[in-house]
Amino acid sequence: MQPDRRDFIKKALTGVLALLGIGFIVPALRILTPSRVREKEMAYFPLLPEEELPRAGVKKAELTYKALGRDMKARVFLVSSPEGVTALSSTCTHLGCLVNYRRDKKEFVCPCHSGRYDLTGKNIGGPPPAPLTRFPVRIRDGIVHIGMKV
Amino acid sequence: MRLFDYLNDRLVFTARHRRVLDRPVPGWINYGYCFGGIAFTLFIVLLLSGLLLSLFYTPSETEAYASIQRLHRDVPLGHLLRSTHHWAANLMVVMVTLHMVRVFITGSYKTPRELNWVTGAMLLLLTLGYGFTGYLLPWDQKAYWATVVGTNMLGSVPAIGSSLAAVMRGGLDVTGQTLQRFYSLHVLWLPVLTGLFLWLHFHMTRRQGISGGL
Repeated sequence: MQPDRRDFIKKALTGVLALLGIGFIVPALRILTPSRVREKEMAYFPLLPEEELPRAGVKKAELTYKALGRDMKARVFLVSSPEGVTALSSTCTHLGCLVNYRRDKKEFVCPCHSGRYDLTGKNIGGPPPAPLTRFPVRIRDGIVHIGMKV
Repeated sequence: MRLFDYLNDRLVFTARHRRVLDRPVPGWINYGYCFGGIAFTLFIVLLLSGLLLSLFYTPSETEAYASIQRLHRDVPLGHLLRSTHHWAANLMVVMVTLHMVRVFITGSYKTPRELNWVTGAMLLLLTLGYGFTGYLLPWDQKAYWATVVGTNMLGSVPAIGSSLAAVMRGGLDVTGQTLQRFYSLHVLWLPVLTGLFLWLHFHMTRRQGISGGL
């Protein structure tokens, strides 16, 4: 009988310890999960007057916007094409560096890992997995507004 | 189990476990000998709950109180987390005291265990140090004035009292600097010292065994 009893106590101890472990891990995960996750909403922020839009080619502009009660800045590329003007985010879709416009190649090139995008923002080389984000553009009272999810 | 065997072949932890866990305990032992273990268990509870609390608490004059309110309002089970830390801390002081009373009554402090009594006394002081520094962290009126009074007591030490109090407060008054100091003591300095003394305490307990009583 002796070995059986020992075995039982060992198993019981393991069980109790496992329960204690679960009793810690489950509430800990509950505690660590953020409780207030909200959906991001689209909002429009003024960028520049309509007449400053590029007739052809690419123009870099600094967008000031508000997110989570804070003033933020974002670099935006305005690209004009026969179809109209598009606004591209300058944030590389690979790891979030800021891309530069290379006038000689008519490409956006990321300085970090040489990711390349064409003028429509499409990723054409290097590590980027997706095209540059395209912001919606809206013109109100002669001012160009850019839509951002904040 | 293959993974367990793989790790065990390399770390040999079952052998370690045997040495630490499979220890012969005299048959005449009673529940009075559990207080030290209970105190250590509470220490583990405090360590784990404290680790979680530190993810939400901001030790700053302007943010401390608000961060605790946020913990209560926004964090799921946040109230339970803080209460666990609070009550485990209170119980720990009780258990450490009971442990000391038991050691005293059974005369377990006698040669060759005097040094272990000394490390135990250090651990008692550290426990009270946690209590004193932790009490300020909620940064409410009760916490503030308790610390003003507590550090005033330090100021009553002859000759060097006012300097001691100034060092502890990080200034002449209890300010945000005091909060910063107490937070640092509570979560860094004291735990490091506690780890050291706990190791010494347990090491000696293992080497010297349980005393035969009076």
